[in-house]
Amino acid sequence: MPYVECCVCEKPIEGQALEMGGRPYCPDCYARVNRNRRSLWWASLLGIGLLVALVALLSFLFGQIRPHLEGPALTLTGVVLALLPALFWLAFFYLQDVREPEPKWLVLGVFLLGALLARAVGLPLIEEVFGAPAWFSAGPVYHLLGAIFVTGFINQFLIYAGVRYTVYNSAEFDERVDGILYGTAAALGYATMGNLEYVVRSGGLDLSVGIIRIAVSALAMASFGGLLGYFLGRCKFEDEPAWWMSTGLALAALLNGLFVFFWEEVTTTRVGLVGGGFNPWYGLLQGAVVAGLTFALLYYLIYRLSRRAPQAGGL
Amino acid sequence: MSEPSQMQEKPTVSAAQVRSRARRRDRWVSWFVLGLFLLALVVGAVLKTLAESRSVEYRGDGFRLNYPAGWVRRTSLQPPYLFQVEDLGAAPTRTTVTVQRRPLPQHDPLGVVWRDLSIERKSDGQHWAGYRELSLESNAQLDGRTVLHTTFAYVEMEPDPFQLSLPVVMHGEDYLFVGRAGVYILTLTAAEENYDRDRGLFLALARSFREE
Repeated sequence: MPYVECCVCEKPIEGQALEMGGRPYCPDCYARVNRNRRSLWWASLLGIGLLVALVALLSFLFGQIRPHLEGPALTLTGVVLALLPALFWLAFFYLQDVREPEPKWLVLGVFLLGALLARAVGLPLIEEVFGAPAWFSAGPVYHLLGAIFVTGFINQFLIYAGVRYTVYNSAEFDERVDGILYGTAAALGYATMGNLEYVVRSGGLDLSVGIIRIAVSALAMASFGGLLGYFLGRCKFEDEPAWWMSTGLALAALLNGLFVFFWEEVTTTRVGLVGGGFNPWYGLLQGAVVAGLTFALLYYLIYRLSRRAPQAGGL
Repeated sequence: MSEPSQMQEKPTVSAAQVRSRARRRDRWVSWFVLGLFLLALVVGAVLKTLAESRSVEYRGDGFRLNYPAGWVRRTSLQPPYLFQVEDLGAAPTRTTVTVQRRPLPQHDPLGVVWRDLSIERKSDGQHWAGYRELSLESNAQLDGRTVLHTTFAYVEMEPDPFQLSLPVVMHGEDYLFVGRAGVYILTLTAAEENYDRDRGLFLALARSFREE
């Protein structure tokens, strides 16, 4: 009988080795890699649902009450609102992740790294080097392609790099679903920094409209980061072809670009010289649908993979 | 040398082999991803160049010029304004180019019109808050034409009608030159952070100006 070592724990495998993506696994490691992480899905589901509900309620209340905030008070309120989506997701994840919990400092670290990459590289590259989105107005084709090749690829590559060159190589990244978890955390950090930048640069924001913009960008980025993480997770534990991860990056960038393009299309209700009509509620709907569908697809993919594994922990 | 009975069986598939293969594959994956990202950036740079060089021709009011595609032209203007285009996508506030035509004074036409323009702006604190002239070049050349070139700065108090925003420092420049029908004033105004980028577009627009 051939001597086979598990590719994760390096222990000799007694009996028949379990194979996944061309690699031998012992039953324990096989089950761990294929395990589903219920806390991730609950955090995402509750995060999306409650965030949309809260943002809709707050936006409606702000629209009715029209609180008179100025200067530092307005900026501080904007900053708190910008942090809200990430706080929601992190809090739900923390509360749900009790069985074999992922190190919280690592999740938080990846989140902060995503934010730093956005501020140090992403935003300056998109806005200052590429001068986007100023030239997107040259025509719809330029808008669409620019949103994909500039905004989408830069955002998604940095989120990929934030996971791939840090936690991906650590022993804590020991489940396929960890890719989705850390991808989502990095993307939320990235989106949060973009939202903070938006608030601080504006010296505050129109609360009823701004809170929707913040929620939509966080929801969208979290879902694209999750998708990218799915590809990373499979890349780590299976011998996928060399183009596998590139396909994941291209897909996430494409969706990110389409989202940026359609965000403006669906929220602009009328274009005029004196001022275009703007309905952010359509944008909130778009964000909720995209995030909901993406996480549902990821759940299905992970569920299918874990069902295939006989020793998997299941749901 | 070990006894044959004590020798461990040679692994058929060792973890080290699998890891080494995975590391090699991961390197290839990283290069593929990096290559794709760089390719996307190159495509993005080409798109930017193409978008910024696209222009639309305007003919009317006795002149023609080319302005950047995607900028929106205002149609209801009051004299002396003949033409106005805006880049509505510029943040934190729109970039604007205007063309005015004023009657031709008998003596020192460019100097007289420029002084009038300067006085108008300084006295209009609502639209030109904190207006300051930064430079003046009276015999500049623009595409073989002698022009008066000025640069200035002011503060836009309401940069975004849809959002509560801080006032924005604006930069701008004028080209004044004498035409058959009067003195033309081509003016660019842009937020400080967009000014360097947009003055290239403005220069192209000014160079395309032809009186008909």
